[in-house]
Amino acid sequence: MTVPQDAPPGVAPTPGPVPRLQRAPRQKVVAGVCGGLGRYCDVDPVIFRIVLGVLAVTGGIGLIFYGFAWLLIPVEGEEENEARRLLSGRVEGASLIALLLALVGCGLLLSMLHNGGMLAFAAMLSLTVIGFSVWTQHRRTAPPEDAPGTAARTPKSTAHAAGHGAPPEVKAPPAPGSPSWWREPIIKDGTTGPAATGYLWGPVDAASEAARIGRSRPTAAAPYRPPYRAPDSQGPRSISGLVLLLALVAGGLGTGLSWGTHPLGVSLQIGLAAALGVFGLGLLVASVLGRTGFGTILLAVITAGLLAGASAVPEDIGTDWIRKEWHPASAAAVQPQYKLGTGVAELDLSRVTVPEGETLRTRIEVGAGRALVVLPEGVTVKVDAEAGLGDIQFPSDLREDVDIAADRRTRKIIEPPGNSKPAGTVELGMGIGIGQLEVARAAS
Amino acid sequence: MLRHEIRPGRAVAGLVMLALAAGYAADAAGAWDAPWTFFAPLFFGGLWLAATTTWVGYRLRRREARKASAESPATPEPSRRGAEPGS
Repeated sequence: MTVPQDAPPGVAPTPGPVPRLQRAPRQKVVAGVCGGLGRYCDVDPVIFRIVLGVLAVTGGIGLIFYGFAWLLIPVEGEEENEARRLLSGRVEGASLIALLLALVGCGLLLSMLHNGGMLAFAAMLSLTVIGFSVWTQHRRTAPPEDAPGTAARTPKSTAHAAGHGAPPEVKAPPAPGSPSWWREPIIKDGTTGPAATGYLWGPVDAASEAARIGRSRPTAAAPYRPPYRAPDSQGPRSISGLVLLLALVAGGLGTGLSWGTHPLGVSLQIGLAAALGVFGLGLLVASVLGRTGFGTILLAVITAGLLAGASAVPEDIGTDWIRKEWHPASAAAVQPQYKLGTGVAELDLSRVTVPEGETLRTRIEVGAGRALVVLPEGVTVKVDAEAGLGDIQFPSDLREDVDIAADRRTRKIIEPPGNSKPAGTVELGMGIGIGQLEVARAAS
Repeated sequence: MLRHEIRPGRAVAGLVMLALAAGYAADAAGAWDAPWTFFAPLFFGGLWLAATTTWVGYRLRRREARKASAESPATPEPSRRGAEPGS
């Protein structure tokens, strides 16, 4: 590993007894996850990089882990992680890339599910690395009581050794560029006080910002000035997280309460309209009180698009999937119309005999799913089939040929096979919103 | 700290979303049948209006800030932060 050491030689490492798990922006290749893991476990980050790369190729577990680590581990020096930012409406490129990585990893994992050997390899490699890093971390943090010669090397025992009267332990100098209280100019009366030019260099408005916050003279009780607050935290508080939560609750309630009593499209429409109403109210409130980011507007736009889509779902698609079969025994038992909301409908006419010269009329309608009509032997069929979005199959077609198209209407006369005994005519009407219509002939 | 000066673009965007939600809620309740042409003009026109309102408000605020800084040199030059276009 050729990462330059930022601490000068001869200086004890500064971190406390247990370093926090943070992404390391200074040792990053992609997002600093491996660098942070290496620092946390006291292992060369290259090990994590190689292992995660291998795991990414063999089954995508590496990608899933990297994506979630990117989302969940905060970057060094910041409190909140990318996932929290994403959920509170502040959508950024980094969090979207992390999500995408996890998604691609999930796809790879699903495509490798049948390959047991590769999964076993990935699991064993993961377990080995986890065990190795836990072992090295434990070895580092455990107080080496049996080896007094190495006690001075571990930061924990150094902290214990530095008691009263002991000289202060060596610390790394502050990073160059950060403002220090002794850098304030001495004004005429010999003291340091609030001055107009706070920083030797930096943004122009930083000086006025620092002057506005107020720079108190160092006293014995408070030797340091209050920490510099970024100008961003001075703005109005964000209410986008609250709005998202309320919208989720409203949408869930709207759809959940209407699920059993309304068709699918209407139920979804009620929930999405409730969520969109909450987003609209939130934006309206945010024009005066609080702050919403671009993410809230994006979520509202997505919800509106889904709402328009839900309103286009046909009314006869229900929220339950049903399998229904009809087997009429005679021509008299055949009803003029068969209907089903969502599911698989099968109309078996193979036991119905239609005498020559007579006509039997029936119709089958399905909202979404599949409709299958089995024809009796020897009849001539006049089919009038309509599919909003889907496929229509006739006995003459090849079974594998599924051809999906929108707004399809087919009128066709299907003649019986030549060797069957002559019979009457069946006028068959078929309709489906989304799905497949199939006409089959009973096996003789 | 919650209160701030009014952001007219947000208000317009919020009103558009509320109008869409109300239209589709009425459609779901059966009181009104929302045609397909209801969505696109209201949605895209409303977002365009919100963006324009935000942009105009941003220009007005910048102009006022610049005027204030020209009158009293102590006030710093208005920064570009403070109003993000398209919000």
